[in-house]
Amino acid sequence: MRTIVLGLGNPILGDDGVGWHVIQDLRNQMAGQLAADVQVDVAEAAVGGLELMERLEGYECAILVDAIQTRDGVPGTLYRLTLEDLPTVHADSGHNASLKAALALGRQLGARLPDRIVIYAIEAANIREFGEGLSPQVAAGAGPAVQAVLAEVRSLAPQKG
Amino acid sequence: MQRITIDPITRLEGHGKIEIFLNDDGDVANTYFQIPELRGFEQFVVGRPVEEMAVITNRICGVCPDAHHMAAAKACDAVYHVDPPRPAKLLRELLYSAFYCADHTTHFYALAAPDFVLGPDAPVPQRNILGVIHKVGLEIGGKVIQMRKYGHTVIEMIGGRAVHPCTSVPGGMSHGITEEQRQEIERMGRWAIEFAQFSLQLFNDVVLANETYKELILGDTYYHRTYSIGLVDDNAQVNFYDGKVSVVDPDGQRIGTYAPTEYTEWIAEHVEPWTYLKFPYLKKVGWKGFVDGKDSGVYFATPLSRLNAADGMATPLAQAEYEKFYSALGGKPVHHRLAIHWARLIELLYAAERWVELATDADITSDNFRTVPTATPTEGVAIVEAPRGTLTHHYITDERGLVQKANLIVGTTNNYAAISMSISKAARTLIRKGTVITEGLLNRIEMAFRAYDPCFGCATHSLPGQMPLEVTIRDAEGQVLQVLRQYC
Repeated sequence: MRTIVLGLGNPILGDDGVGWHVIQDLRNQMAGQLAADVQVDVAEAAVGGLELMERLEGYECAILVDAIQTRDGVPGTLYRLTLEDLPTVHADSGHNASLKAALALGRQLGARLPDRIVIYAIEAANIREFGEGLSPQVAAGAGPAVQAVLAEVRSLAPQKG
Repeated sequence: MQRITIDPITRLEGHGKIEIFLNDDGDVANTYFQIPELRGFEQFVVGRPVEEMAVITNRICGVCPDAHHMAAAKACDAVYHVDPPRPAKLLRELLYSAFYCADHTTHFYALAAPDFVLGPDAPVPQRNILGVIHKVGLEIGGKVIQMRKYGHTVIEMIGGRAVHPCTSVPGGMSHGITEEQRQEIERMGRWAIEFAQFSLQLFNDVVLANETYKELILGDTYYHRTYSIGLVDDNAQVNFYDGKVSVVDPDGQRIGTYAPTEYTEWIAEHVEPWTYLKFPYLKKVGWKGFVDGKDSGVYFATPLSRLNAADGMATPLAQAEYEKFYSALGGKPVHHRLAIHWARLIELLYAAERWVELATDADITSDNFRTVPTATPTEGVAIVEAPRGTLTHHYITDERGLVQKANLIVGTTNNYAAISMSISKAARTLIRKGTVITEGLLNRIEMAFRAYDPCFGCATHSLPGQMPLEVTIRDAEGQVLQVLRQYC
């Protein structure tokens, strides 16, 4: 199953870039840990909506890692979500479309897009102040996210025997 | 006093918030457009090498990275007192033209078209790009995606990366293009011209031929007489990459043009207690409040203002559309803010024509794409036209080229006062005593600012944990009378 693990966010806007941090740690930990028959690309992107859909083209499975802000959420908390768990419009990515709408559009146009999309979201604290570092609680939440993504990737490996 | 809150705004990057206060009679007493402010950028870049600004500032915004890249690159040229060779300027403008085509296309089909193709009162689930292609045909969706793909391809060829270009350096570019690439770019550009013409025809057939939509555009609800600004070349024609900023009054008279280094003589900022973001205004006219007219320094910086501020377009097909535009709307300048959508399509055609002009220039494949700077870096200012308005970058460095101070006036900030006024006018016009607040009505208020294509939460991609649109109506004591939600 051709898979992409994609860290989303703005890497210079505090906790908004937690997805990028997770991807960096993931790269370090993945080396040599995965079976040769698991095809996984790992990347970062500061895009949403149509751009994100275009980035996912050609994959059967996508694991997105992103920041999230929920009402009264505790910074650093990790959530495992699917597209159905998100509010319908995903803030309707101001300048184009929501991820759901973008995927629907892509599929109607015949693009090969992932049937399986899993989102690991980490509750963010600061997404309004520029900086490359994470809040301590959010940084602490990145570790479990790396392990969760690794486990998710391993689960995609073809069963032997 | 009753209070209506729209928070957050749909189809707007970042979470803006509109507060509409009603008086005891049920009419609109006041409106406030509040936006989240991103803090600390000036501190973030202090001490960094100025040449990094072209790759740092394009991370400010996930929507206009190419505009920041260009403004930063030109400001770095100025800091290092170096004039890039002609091929470098051509390459940058070519990349920028392709970016404009992708960006303007996306805005029109994903944001503007739902209101005009489906209608402002269409059911919410249909009022998006999917609804548009269901109504006008799947092949249009394919063209939109193709236009975006071509834009990204050119950006990657010249800029090194498809989304966040990285090849502009002080004095020029870090690499050029081959003849094979040039041919491919030219082919895509010719397709882009056809696509832009197709889009203008679609606008003509679907929007202008519909009397209801025409009335919506030409009515008073979305009308403001303010100053217009926009970058122009030596012939006073629209240019996105270089030139001087032309300033035109509400009657269409040019009151002057300013070079990037003169921006502080022309633009000042007004502060209001209810928002952290400042309101730029024309210093020579002065701040008179959120009011229209020649005595008010409020201006706007959009595709429409760029057309108003120029004498014409530099390419033939766009010039013909420019003339048709002003002929149809009663001459220059045009103040109907929904006409920004039409102006954007004329700019799309200009960008596509310019794309081909640049791709067929004999110098475009030259190896002379950089003049290595030798002077001691000091200070530099640059201006480009971002799709969402005039973008100014100003850096001051020490003698090693490390940033001491940075000041950015981004496209949307220019329009903050004008957008606030447009929201206020739409709300006052549409909400009267006894008006039933419907989703369609709120969408018509949102249309007042959507035309400007504002972008406040640059590249904030955190997932939302709240309802995208919530309206709370309160009585004079602040008690909740009614709560309306969209997309719940």
